[in-house]
Amino acid sequence: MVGQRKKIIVFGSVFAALGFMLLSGAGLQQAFAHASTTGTVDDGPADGNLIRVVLGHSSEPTYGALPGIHDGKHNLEVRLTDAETSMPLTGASLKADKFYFESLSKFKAAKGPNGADELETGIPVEAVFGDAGHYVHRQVQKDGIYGYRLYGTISYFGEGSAEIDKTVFCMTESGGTSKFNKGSWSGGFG
Amino acid sequence: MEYLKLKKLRLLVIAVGIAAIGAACSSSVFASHSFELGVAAGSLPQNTHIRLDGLTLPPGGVLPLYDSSPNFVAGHFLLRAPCDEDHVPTITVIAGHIDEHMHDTFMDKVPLYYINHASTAGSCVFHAHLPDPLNGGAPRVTDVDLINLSGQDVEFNAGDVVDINVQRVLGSIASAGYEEMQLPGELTHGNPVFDLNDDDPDNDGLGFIED
Repeated sequence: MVGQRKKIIVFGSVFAALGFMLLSGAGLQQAFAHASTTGTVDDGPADGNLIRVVLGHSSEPTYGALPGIHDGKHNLEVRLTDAETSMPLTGASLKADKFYFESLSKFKAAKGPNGADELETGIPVEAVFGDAGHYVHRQVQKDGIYGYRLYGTISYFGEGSAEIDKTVFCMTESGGTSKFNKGSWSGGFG
Repeated sequence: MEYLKLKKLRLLVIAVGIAAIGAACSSSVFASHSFELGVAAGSLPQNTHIRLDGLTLPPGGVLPLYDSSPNFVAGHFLLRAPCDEDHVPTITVIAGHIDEHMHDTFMDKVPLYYINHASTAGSCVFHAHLPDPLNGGAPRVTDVDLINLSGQDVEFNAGDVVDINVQRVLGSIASAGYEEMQLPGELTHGNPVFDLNDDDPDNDGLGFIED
């Protein structure tokens, strides 16, 4: 009787652990979602169709480079898809302006994104070979707050194009980093 | 001896060259539509091949061909089936999502490309692209069916077939469901049919890349 109870406890614990692992996995996926926005095809036969732009950092959550601990390699990555079908969009010509603030207090004190501690403009965001619709700018990050102005032309299967010019900043646990965002974004990236 | 070795080497170089040119050309032949991406590197496509010969579908009859729920997919579709004088198949090809909940079901007619040079008397050959973001049809495809909306029996001929080649998973219908309901029985007979090889440039559809 006691042996049977032990077995039940052991099996119960294993199932509970498995359930907890599954739930944790689902939670992680949600936490690491990127920011997304939409654009509209404004010329050609596909005029009016919607495109989806997803922007974030690779391997989120991000950590600033710390020798021997973190390599800080968190690329700016963009995924472009047709909003209705989710089919990837290739052939986009994208650039980014990168804003870096050393701290949240400096970000809050700034009057505009150009008041960033570091500013890089006209960075090419290039297509990843063999991964249609995926575009990256490779970088090594420092601790701080990063934001990007993404701009350029997105081809819609060769039957139209959409212009994009939107800005979004990464989120922090303390929040309050959206004041320089331009265009409507949902979700966020860390 | 040296001469023979050199000759073999030359032949090998020529053979490799021909193979390389052939591979380069074939990519432009198969990629005739701008939105078709094919299979991602390192992956194999999934294929479903269904013989239709000997089958008779009564009016209103449905032959389910493919169901990848909950994933919506991208792929290529081939049909050989009886058609009318305008090259419209007597059976209707529909795709979209059939949900257990009626209100989450959306099916639409698939835009087809008539392939004259592969069609023979009595049956027509069609290609389609699943999904087709430029020419219509359901944007997110988990299900593909044949349905008889002609009002008469449809009898398939010897050699009639469906072949569905699924090349990518694009997402989950659980997070991108349909907001509008459209049931198979609400559709009318006759798929939209395009033809790239006739003299009418207005029925070529969108997204075709000229070689």
